[in-house]
Amino acid sequence: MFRLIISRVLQAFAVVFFLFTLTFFAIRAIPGDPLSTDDKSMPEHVKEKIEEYYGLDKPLIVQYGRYVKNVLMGDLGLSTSKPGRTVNEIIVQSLPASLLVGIGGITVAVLLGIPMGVIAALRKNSWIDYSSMAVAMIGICIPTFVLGPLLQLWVASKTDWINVAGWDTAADILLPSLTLGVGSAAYLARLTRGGMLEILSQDYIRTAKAKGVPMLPIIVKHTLRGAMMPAVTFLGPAFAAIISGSFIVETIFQVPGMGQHFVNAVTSKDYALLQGLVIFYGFLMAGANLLVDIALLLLNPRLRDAT
Amino acid sequence: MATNSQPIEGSSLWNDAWIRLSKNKLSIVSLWTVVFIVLACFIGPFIYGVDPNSGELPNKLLPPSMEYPLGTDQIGRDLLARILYGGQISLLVAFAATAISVTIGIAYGAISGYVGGKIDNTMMRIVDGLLALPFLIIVILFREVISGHIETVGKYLTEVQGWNRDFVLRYQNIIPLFIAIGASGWLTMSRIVRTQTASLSQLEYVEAARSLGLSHTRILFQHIIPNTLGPIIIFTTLTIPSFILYEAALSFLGLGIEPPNSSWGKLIQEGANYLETNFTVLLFPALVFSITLFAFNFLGDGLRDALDPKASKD
Amino acid sequence: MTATLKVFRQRPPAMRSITFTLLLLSGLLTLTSCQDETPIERANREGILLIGNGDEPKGIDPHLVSGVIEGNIIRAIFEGLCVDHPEKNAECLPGVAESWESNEDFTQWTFNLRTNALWSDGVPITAEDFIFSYHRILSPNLGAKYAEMLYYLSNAKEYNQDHKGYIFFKADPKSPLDWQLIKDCNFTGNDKIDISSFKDTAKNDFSSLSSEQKQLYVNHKGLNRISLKQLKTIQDGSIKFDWPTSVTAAEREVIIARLMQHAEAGSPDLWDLAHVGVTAKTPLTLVINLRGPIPFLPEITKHYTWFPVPKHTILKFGTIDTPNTGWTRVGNIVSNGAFVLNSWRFNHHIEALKNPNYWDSSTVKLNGIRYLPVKNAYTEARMFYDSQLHKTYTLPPEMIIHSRKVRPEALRQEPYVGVYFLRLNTTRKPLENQKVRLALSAAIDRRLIIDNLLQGGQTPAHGLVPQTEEYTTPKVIHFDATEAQKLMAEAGFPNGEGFTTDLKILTTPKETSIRMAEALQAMWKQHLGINVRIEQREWGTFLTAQQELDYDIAVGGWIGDFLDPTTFLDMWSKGNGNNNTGWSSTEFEEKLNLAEQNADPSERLEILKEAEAIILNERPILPLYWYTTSYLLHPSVKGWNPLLLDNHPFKFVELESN
Repeated sequence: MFRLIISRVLQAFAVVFFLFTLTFFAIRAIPGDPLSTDDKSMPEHVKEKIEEYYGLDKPLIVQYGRYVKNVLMGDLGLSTSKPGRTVNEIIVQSLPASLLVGIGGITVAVLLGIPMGVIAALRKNSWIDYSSMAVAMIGICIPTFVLGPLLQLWVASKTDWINVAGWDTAADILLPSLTLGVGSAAYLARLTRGGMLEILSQDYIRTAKAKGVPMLPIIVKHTLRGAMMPAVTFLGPAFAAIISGSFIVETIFQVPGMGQHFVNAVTSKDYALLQGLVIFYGFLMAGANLLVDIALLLLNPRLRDAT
Repeated sequence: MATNSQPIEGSSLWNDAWIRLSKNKLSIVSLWTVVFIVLACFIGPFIYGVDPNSGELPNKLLPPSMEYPLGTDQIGRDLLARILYGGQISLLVAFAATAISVTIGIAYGAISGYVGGKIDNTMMRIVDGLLALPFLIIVILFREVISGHIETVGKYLTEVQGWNRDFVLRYQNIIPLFIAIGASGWLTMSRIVRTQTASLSQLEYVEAARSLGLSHTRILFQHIIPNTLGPIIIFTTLTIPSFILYEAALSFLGLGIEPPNSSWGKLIQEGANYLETNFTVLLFPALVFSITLFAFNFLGDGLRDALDPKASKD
Repeated sequence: MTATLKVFRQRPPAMRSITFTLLLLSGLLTLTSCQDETPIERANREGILLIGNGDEPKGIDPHLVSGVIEGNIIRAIFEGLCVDHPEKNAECLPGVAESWESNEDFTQWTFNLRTNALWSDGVPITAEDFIFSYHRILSPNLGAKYAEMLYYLSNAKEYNQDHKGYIFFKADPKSPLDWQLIKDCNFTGNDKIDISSFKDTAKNDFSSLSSEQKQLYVNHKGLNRISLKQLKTIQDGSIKFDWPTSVTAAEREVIIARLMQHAEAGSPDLWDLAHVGVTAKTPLTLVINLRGPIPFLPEITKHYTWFPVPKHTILKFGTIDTPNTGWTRVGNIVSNGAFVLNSWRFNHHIEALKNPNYWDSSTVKLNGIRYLPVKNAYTEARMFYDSQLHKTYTLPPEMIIHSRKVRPEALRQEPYVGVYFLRLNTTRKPLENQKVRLALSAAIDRRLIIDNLLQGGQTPAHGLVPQTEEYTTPKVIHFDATEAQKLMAEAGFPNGEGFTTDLKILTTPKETSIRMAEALQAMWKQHLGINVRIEQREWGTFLTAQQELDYDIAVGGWIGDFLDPTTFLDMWSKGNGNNNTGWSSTEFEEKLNLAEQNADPSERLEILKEAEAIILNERPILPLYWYTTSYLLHPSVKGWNPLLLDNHPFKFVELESN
């Protein structure tokens, strides 16, 4: 286990380096440049000065070398779309909100999704199964940009203690988490149900059942464990995806998180910001996946022997 | 990789599956719903015959009537016609992107899970890495790279081959889109397949097959991939709606379908702006969209149960 | 099987934990957020104005930003020579300047600063602060995007563009050479020459270039911008420079020697030599010399580029021309407005509180302003309905309709000096044909678009410059389908026959722009029988395409910086970075020049009207409508009146709590 962690950390560095290099050249291959995104055109001599300030006048390979050096020293560079701010600062300031919404979303997903999946599987083809899967489907069918406004209209406008949008009171975490979590809950419910059914049909369970062994311990010990595998596989990437992919929720609920920066960085060609986010997000993903793999090892001893 | 190594007992497996499926009423209803919607979107417009892109401003946001069965949109275009044409794009994007992602995902995941060890590890780290690349970047890149070429092809088709211009324009815009979506959508699929394959290849019967000296290709195609079909089908039925939604999110950012063309996701996104004022422009596209997704989903469930004989005996 | 069901029928353990967690969660939330008053009620009690501000600002350094969002914040925390009137347009109230007067022909203005104007740290504001500020924004190294707002000052443009030749030989009274004789030398360079093939080597190493390349390179850069090393190569004759024949060898040597002397000295700042038109007669008397007569100068000084910045604070954090030093951060910033920056959470809020050191603090009624960067306009409107905001930044058309029903008392729709138009690329066929342009224009039913699409009470543009009390815009543009068809036929496309099918309208992903493009597409098809396409590009690419003239038709808008037609006309001169139509007219530019030289306000406006008529006759742009601002304003806000520039002075705003 310990060796696994060490090697994963090393791998994470390699992956992040690969990704960073990829983005570095990819974003520069897209037409347009970071300084032409204002609504008023910039005089040529001013543009030259600003390019010099950001080091954008240097040959690409020099820029790359300089950037790698700075990154190794922990400096992710200067944002061009938010002048005067460092990328480090932007990430540090927007991470807490993202983490909270991410945790909230995953909590909603787990609390709703897994029980729903388990119950549906245990009562396969009953009305409970159908209705919980139908509910799960609704969760998938409603895009966040519809669910968010609906919650604003139906929940926030009707209650005094929930605001339409903002990030000031503890209650403000509720609607964004719900909006983000419901979709994932639906996926999770279906994956759990599928996994459960798979295990329930295994011979050893059927034998146990036939022999009249009490079911609850079996469910907890074997079924749930095995059934969680696809679900756990899904959760790792889902967590990281929630953090970066929540730009719609962030704009609808006015959450000062990281998701919107990803989109802004691409549309405003903010090279440094995008690279910084990719590096940060790369490590985050590596961490999430490592946790998933550890969880899978704990759930399935067979896999442990294999690796 | 050879594709001729179909499982020998495959035909009976699929036959049995079909019989089981046809016993499941919900799945059959879903199947017909999917068929109906696909036909409606691709053939319906010819029968309905209303131009989805022309409308007059004074007729904006009309309620359903004899002339406009589902009412009109914000600039006076017939909503039914737009939903039908939009469906073509949404379904095409979803099908094409899903096909791309499933193919890559299964191949990649199965190999990784089956081979195991260092190669598996490296392959999965690459997936981790690519998953960490924001989806949007890949899409923008693909769009920039492919769009130019596709446009050249489109010009050739209209000017030299004399194809219908509207037709070419409608589709040359979505090809980069589904390639981009499909090419980044296989990552999660490959992880799921890999997890399944890894645990399957430890099972006794695979080990037995191996000790019998069966070729790797054969083990993969005969014993492993068929057994991962359940999760794959479930995931695919989840993937289709999520791809339709991806397309909408991209349109939301101005990277999707170019106006005046539309898609379900785009229609829903536009409709959401009328939540307070004109609920029908959201309701109708959302309803068609949801019915389609429900149908795909229950069909997927049915297929899963049908393909997994053990599970359905309960 | 039955056993399982029984267990779960009682109550699944997982379910129990959900219920428990949900209970706990809701308990926690109600505890921490017991709101017995709405955010508005609380803000009214505390005297804080809650205002939607569209987006996170790009900064609040008045010299480095160029947007409306930034301006809204800067206007609260800084103050210029003059201040906006709370309800009258084109009216200047005393700000840092107590009084002002100009000479006969409006080329020299004297501003008398008040004695009690202080920076927020208690340091008095002097004319020196203004000189420092104008020096700073014009510094070539600062890279101020909006420095051209100060080009009205004499010699400001040349100083800002680092025009060494001009500064050494024209502005400097001790100049050894006569500027008239040498001004044809290639000082400023020729950007048209393609140097991309040797761009990077040339920057540092001159010797690797062929002599032909060197000459191109030097000509491209111009004498003003080449390095010491490169100057030497010109001096020792190793490469040729393209001198005009009128300049003698002796004069050439003086020029090179002077430039080298400057470069050898480490290129010191040329401010003192440049004689930019701003001086202090006494510590509290600011004298401004202009390059031509400007009767409306006080109006311009209300723009934030003309605001003073604190010399003592800026120099504490860097030199005069270092950008983004952090002097504008909370805790560092020193300002002179009615409010001071109190807190700033990225993407969350910016809060400014009442400035106790403000000279007129007894007038200021608000205790503070809280700006919320709400990007989603629908969210913003819903926040307003839910009593979370006093004022929205904007209001989408759907929400205008809804507000009319649910909150009619809060809905505000006011004229705003801005114009929405289409740029036409006049270098492309068939748009190079004036008849086609006029036909496209005549086939647009502007009234229909406004009433059905925008619904904000905008005015159909009958000319380019938004009509004001002083300026009567020519009435040229109107909808006439028959006329449009006639023009189209004259241009050789009767009923749209033979017209290209590849004409594209370029838009941004903004929903209203797309709808507009779709409506135009439908109208042109209906009235002219032509098919145009819509091409949607995200913002950066959208702008680049226009700058490179790589488009056919593009949507665009322009908001006036001050109340004068030139703010809408100057941009259509040749070479202006915002023209982007490929169109230019010497006749038009002559009129603009004439107007610039004319000191008589009403004559001047007449000349500008003639200039506008020229561009309207040519129609390289198709004006569609003049802006209105639509927003929601809470009834408890007092002193917020319609203003054409939408620059509401916060010092006069009040909150009336019930």
